[in-house]
Amino acid sequence: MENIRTGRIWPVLKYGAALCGLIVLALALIGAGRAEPEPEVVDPEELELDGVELRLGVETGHALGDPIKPYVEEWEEMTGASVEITEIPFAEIFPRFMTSFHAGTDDFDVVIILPTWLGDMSQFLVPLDDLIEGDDMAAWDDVLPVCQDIVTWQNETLIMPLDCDLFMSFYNRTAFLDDDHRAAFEDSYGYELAPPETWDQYYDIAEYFTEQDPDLYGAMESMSRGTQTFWTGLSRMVGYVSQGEPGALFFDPEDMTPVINSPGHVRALEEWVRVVDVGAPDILEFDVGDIREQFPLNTGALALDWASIGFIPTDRENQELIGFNPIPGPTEVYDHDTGRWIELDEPNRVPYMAALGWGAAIPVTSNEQEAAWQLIRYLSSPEISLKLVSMRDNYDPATGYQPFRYSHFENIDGWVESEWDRDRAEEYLEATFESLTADFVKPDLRIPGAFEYLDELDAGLTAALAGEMEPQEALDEVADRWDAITNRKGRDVQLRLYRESMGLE
Amino acid sequence: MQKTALTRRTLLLPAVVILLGLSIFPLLFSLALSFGDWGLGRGIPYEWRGLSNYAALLADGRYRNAAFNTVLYVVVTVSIQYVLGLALAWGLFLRPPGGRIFRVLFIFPMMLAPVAVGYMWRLMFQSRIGAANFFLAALGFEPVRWLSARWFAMSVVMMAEIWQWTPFMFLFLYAALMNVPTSPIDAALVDGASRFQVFRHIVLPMLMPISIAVIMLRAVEAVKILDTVYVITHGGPGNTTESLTMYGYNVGLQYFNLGYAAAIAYTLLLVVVAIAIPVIIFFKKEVSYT
Amino acid sequence: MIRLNSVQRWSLFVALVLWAIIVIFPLYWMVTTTFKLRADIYAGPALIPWVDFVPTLEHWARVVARYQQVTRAMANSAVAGLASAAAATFIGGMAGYGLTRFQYKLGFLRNRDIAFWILSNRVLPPIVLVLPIFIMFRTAGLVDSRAGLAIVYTMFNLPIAAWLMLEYFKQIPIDLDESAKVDGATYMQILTRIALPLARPGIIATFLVCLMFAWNEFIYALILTFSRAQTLPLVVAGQATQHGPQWWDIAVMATITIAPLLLVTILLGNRLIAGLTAGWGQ
Repeated sequence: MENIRTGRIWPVLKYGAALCGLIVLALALIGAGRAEPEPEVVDPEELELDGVELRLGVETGHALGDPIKPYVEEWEEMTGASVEITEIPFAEIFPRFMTSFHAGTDDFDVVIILPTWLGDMSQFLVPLDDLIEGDDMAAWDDVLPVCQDIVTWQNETLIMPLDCDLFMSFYNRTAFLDDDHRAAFEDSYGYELAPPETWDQYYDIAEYFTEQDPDLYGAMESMSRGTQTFWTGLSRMVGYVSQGEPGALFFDPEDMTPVINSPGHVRALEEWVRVVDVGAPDILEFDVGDIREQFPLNTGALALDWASIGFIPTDRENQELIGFNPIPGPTEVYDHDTGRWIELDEPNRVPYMAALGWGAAIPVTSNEQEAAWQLIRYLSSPEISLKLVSMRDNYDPATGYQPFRYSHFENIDGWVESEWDRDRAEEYLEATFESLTADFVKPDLRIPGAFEYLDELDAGLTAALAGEMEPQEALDEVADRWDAITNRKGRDVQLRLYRESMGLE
Repeated sequence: MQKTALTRRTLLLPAVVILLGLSIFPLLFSLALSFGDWGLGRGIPYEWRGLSNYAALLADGRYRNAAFNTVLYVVVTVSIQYVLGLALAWGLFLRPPGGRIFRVLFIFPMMLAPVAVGYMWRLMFQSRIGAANFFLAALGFEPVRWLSARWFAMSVVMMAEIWQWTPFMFLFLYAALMNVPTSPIDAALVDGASRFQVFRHIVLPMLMPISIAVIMLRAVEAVKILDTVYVITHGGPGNTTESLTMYGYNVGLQYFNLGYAAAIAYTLLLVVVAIAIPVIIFFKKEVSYT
Repeated sequence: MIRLNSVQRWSLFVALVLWAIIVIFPLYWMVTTTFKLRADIYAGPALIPWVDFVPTLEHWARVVARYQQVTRAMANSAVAGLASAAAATFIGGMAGYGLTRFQYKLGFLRNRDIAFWILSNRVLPPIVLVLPIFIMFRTAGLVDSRAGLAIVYTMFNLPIAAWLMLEYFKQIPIDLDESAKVDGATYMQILTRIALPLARPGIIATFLVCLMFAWNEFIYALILTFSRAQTLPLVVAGQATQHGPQWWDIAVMATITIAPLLLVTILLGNRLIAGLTAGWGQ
């Protein structure tokens, strides 16, 4: 046929390849031309912020994104700057920030992150020490020492705290004060119904309510995959393996051998698995959000969660329902050195700083570092952070911010002003303060790869809880995978950083 | 003459450039990555490690498990999709009342975002608040731990996949059925053949080529399964329901172990190619007829 | 033609209605969830509004109050989806037209092989490509941009678009080109006056298929966007917070995400089916 021409595609490809090459070259040049911004030191008070645009990255929703919004808006009005808030789901927040940091793209001026990621993120964040020093608004001395320690990495302060995390147990006060329940419980179990001090009591109480009260589930705990179940697990494990000495929870501080499959850890997990039978029927699908939605509806007897006041329903109406109780403990503790269990007179209730606490940091890529600091010091200031942790202007459930300043604990009036019942607030603050100032409060893992280590732990724990694996088998596998991560990242480096982050060097 | 040659080249050029730049180049890049390691953005240069990433895969239980799950997802969902899709296409081919409405209704699921579909199914299968256990209870069955037991969780993922992609099978099989020549069917009917015989001995053989094609196309897509697993189980409990793409995603973009992630991705690619070669051969034959 | 008696017709009808219920129910369940109070959701399954639960607009109101996030995601999805679908259809159409009207040679590759090469790109798993693309985009400043997403979606839809368009152009007899040529028409005129109008059902179907894949795409968007260019599927996934899946918000966002394509399907579904039937059946 005449109109079908015979041709060669070679020229097409030749030009195509040349064009591709040119484009790549041009792109490479653009990339190479982009220089790192030089942070300038200017007195923050004198900054003119009209027209400045900041981008803030924070976790999605009620817990972290929503509560800061009123104060960010307030700050925008005061300064004339504008802030664009990007909300990112929890499972994506670490990867998202890390890809952005790795990419070297200027995506965020302020990121609200967890100190547990510092080992991976430290090199991408601006040290704040010079800014903090002498800044009355940041009021560094007002921050609890333990909450200061966790945001410091390699002698640099990289995060300004907005929160200081702690795991706590909760009980249904209404049910615990019910005379029928108290009598029936004592009949069956031979001791008084009271907030549990040991895990055995915790189990008994959960069992009692599951069997005796059709309207109350015995226990609510996070148990599903990808929802930070590992933090509930670590909070439970810590009392079985440690009386406060560092390095007993994750790795042997001598050679980075994982201790996560020690007899202590395994027993903690075995006892946790038993809770599945006395918990809510769908407890294996729970994450902390489900607890926070359901427990305040008077549907549970016991719960484990972070100690944020957001646990209380925000209509502030049935504050009576929720009782605060430091986390229970076992009566025996496993000693790694001798390989023996030690009997204790008192239950070993070791407070655990799961996740360590959200705080604000400035990526080195930001071009608005001065303005970013202005925003951060405002949010973290005693005045504003009190409103954050007491949910002053926030009527959506579940703030993720917990008290971290001396002034938060001293200023009960501030909590009453946020419409909390004075007794409830005092009980809550007392329990929290006691735990945070205890000698043996256990910090979380912060070394590089912490996200990956903890994700592997999450897989092992959820498999054991769901009955897909035996606890010993699951934790042995976690230990193997932890070893593989350590080897990949370099055992010597990891060991040094682990010791430093645990305060051993 | 000159102008024709220009037209000819111009027609193909953009497609070739885009595919070379965004498909072939990344493919080679990934291949190189899979033989080494690279600390993206950390100033760590590319380091050649030969086959060590692939060797590590062989000893990686989590990888084997993800590979097994992926094969299971593909085999189960694609075969059920095919059978259902064929049944629906045949049903509509028989011109039932309301056929035009059914036809559109039946393709709904494939138009929807898999992420949204995943949440839809997870919501229905929540063991306490979902509809599934509610119906089971109404029928007198015990509630099932749909999302927290491995095989149940996998079956929820599979149901969502089947729900979403049966329409794809239906659509193409229906299109093919509408183009089946009617004379052999009529002749067979005149000869007294039953409808089943017509279906089995006349229609089905004529649908064979397109059947192989759609099954392979679906299989190639199904191997990449991520969205529904990500949303419905997040790989849990443990990593028992994880797919290969999900594992690769975790390793590459959550743990930032780029070389290993590339090796995982490349083994996935090998599977895809193994499935795709028959499709390519098949299409080659088809085209040469025309 | 096979004929059914009325009993058979209606039993077939009942069977199809059953499948229709299976198709509809998950959608129904999700949409009704958007109107349930939290307490109603946790109280257990409630099927029928006003009977099992009192509908509320609370969740919709909350999403509307945060409309910037939704409208931006929607704009991102729309821009990336429409632009890439148009580009893929256009570029794919060009390639398809070229491959049916001219003969190319690239070493041992002939038209047929080139077509297969183009199509075969479709089978590549995104997880293989996405990391290098991310690195390229980072160099080009295309990370977290609509343009970047549109480019990737064009790439990933191009194989299927080229293939579908090739099938349509193949069916337009070359004799028509011939006679136009005799009448003195240029190639451009042949393309715009003859080939394009005849291929219109195919173009519409191709465009819709590309739009669907781009609108629903997850993994590229997950990795290539951080904030500004986030698409709707990411916002849906983003409703699962540290503090649990917010079922009500997820349901609202998922409904918003699927509504446009449902609408398109209702309006153009029969045309899409007709287009695919015409192009693919033989």
